[in-house]
Amino acid sequence: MRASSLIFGLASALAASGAFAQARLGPPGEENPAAHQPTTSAARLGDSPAMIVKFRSTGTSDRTQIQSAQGEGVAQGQAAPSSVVAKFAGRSGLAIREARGLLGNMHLLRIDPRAGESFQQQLERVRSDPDVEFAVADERRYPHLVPTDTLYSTQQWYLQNGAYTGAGADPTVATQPSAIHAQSAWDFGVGTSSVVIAVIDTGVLSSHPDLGSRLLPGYDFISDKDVANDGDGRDADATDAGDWITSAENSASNGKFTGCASPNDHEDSSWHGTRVSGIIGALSNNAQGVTGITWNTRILPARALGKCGGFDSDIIDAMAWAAGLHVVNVPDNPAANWAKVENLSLGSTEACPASYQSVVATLATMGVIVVASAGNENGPVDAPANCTGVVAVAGLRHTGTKVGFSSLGPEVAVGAPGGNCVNVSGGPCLFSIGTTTNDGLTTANNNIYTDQVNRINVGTSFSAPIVSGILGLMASANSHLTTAQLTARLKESATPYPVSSDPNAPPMCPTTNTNSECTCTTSTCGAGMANAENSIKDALRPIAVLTAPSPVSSGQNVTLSGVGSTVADGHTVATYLWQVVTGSASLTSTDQITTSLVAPDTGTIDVRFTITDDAGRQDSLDWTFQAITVTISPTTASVQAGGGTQTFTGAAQNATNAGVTYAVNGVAGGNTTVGTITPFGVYTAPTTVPSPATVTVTAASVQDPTRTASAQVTITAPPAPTTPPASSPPSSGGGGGGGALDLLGLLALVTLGRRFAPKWLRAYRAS
Amino acid sequence: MAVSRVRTLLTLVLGCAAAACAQPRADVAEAAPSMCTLRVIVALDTAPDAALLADLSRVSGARLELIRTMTSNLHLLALEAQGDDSECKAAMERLRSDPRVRSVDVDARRKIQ
Repeated sequence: MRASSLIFGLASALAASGAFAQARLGPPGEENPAAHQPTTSAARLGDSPAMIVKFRSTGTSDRTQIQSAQGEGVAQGQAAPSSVVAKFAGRSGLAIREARGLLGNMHLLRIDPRAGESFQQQLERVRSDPDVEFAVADERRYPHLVPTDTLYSTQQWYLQNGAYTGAGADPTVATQPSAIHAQSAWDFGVGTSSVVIAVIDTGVLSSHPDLGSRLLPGYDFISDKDVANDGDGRDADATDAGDWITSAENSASNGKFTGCASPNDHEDSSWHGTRVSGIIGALSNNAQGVTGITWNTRILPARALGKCGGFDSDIIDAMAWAAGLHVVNVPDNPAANWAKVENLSLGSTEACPASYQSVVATLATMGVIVVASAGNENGPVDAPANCTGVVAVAGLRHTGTKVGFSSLGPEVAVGAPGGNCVNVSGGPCLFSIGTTTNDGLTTANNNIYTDQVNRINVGTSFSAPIVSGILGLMASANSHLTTAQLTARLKESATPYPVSSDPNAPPMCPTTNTNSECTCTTSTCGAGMANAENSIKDALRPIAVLTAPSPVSSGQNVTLSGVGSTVADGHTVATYLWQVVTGSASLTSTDQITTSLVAPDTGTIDVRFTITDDAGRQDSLDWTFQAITVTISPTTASVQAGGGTQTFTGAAQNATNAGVTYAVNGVAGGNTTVGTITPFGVYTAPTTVPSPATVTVTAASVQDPTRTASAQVTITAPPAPTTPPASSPPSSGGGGGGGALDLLGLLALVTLGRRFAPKWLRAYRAS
Repeated sequence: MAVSRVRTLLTLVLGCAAAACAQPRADVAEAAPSMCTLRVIVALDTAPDAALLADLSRVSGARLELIRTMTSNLHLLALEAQGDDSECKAAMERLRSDPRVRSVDVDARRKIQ
């Protein structure tokens, strides 16, 4: 158990490793200031870097061998005692200065470089050995990044990995399965400044000291000056002017803000955009306040919500502008500030409007991904979160169950913490989503932070930016991912929802409304709990592309291509691999970017293309071919010449077009000599028996005419005319012998006179 | 709008004359036709010039006025119809059925969540 755990742990570490320090650290200003990592990794300390090499398994994996291998070690300068390493050294001609057995078939090797050979070239040389499964640099690792932000440990439980230990923690609910493991994710990347996340919201307070330098100028898209609350309509200032509603405004008769607060009440300013922005990207590791999920991505505030929300016409324009589209009478957003991710923590109950669907689809073609909150109405997912292509986010409690207020439904992509308070009878709201805000009740006053007592922060509005932040990390790690790939990998990486066998556990979430906590399912709360660590690791994987001709016929020479496949930023392609995983076929190449094969005549073949990067990360795609099989029924028939018919049923299996065409003796549709056949398979025999008397009816696939099936048809002569027997009467039963009765003779007899008619005929007539 | 009110007033005045002004003035005010108004986001294949708007107004049975062109092929229009809200919705449906119109949505209010 211990060995397997270790294997898993080490293999994971290897698979996850950025092979080279320069690849992970990025340009100045984008490295993680918390880690204080030297620019030279451990593998490069000293005069000869080390590598971890795993040799292909000999088929034994028991603990004894694993432990034995661990014991194999040599002093520097000596030959390795391990036979596999010794053989490798002899075969490759590499001068191994140091070898130490690790786990299983893995060894730490330090190799003297050849003159002018780089460490990367050395690695490639080792990888080219057929017995080497992988070879990676022995990288230096650092403790998980823990930001110095003062509120991180107490207010930002949702970013952490382990148990909540903040003030007032209830030991009975001290775990937090829905926390997104950002702390581990930051070991793999903290985001780049080239990625922009747009916050379509109430604007942002750029004066907040924990946001300032992360913010781009943005724009105010609110057309109605009363909604904007800043004295004018659209302008270039995206600052949040406050969205408070007075009691008078709320209770006015048919006023612009009537009913915008609880009856006879007022509403304080929410500083909603500032709260959302702090979750995505509050200044990190600055020994102050909170940390953002991304540490370097930039935030583009596009103000579209004001007093009592905002209108679609402004929100859609803000979405378009942030992505780089032109909006009439608004200066274009500079290309350097075009958003990669757009966060919409807004909505209302309605089917997806066509206007949103249109702009979301347009943005997807531009590589811009839209994230939206599912809604707080504990019912169907709101618009625009319910639009196709939008990453809809449901709200989770710290335990991973759906938080009561969150809307739910099949449109949800993933769940993320939405804030929940636990202490229903007073006391702190333990699982508030800590972020930046302001204490002004109307206009802005002091820039502060949300807390667990006076300024709690809950709502699916805050689930969405958690996912936007994760997508920002993913897009930073791998800029080649399309919106569809980002969504797919986000969902694949989600942690499955916890399921409890405890009879007191919350019930399963229904497909209809529920304002109660419930146990999530994939059809109600999305693929699972958003997981930043898994997501960025998945984003770092290469992106396989596999193209093949279509359709393909049996016997055709098919070229499969991996051209267009890419690896994450800062990484290189290590290998291509083509494998026949089902069926049998001969590939012209197994390690090039293209390969060819002959499509088989029968059965199914599955060819897998795998791209591996220099860190051992992989992505695979399969190409499957199923030989078309044609059937015909019946396969034999006997048809009488002179108009006899037989219906055949032909069909092509494994074909996109199941249709067939018919031929008789190779003649499409047949002819008068061998018989004819209709497009529906109705065969009609010729007038006379052909020679030979047996013909072949063939059904051929419309898609691939070389795929056929045949039936044999024997043409028989029509029966010869017969006369009634002279000494025996015809059967009176009307059965098969009835046809032999010679009616003409009978009529003649009747005409000649009854008196001469025989007795049997009279009896017959009387019957 | 002003023309419509003048017409209504004229009709009422003439009607009043014919009926010998039997109704009190309050009833005259109640008889004025109600109007519904909506702001709608309309996706069109071509820019909505005056001729197209006039034609779409005829098709929908509602007065249409361009408030502003949004992004891409979306346009924010004011739609005004005689009658209650149901008449505005019916006018939207008639607008949707025109082949030159890709979509029609109410310019709805969204709120923070």
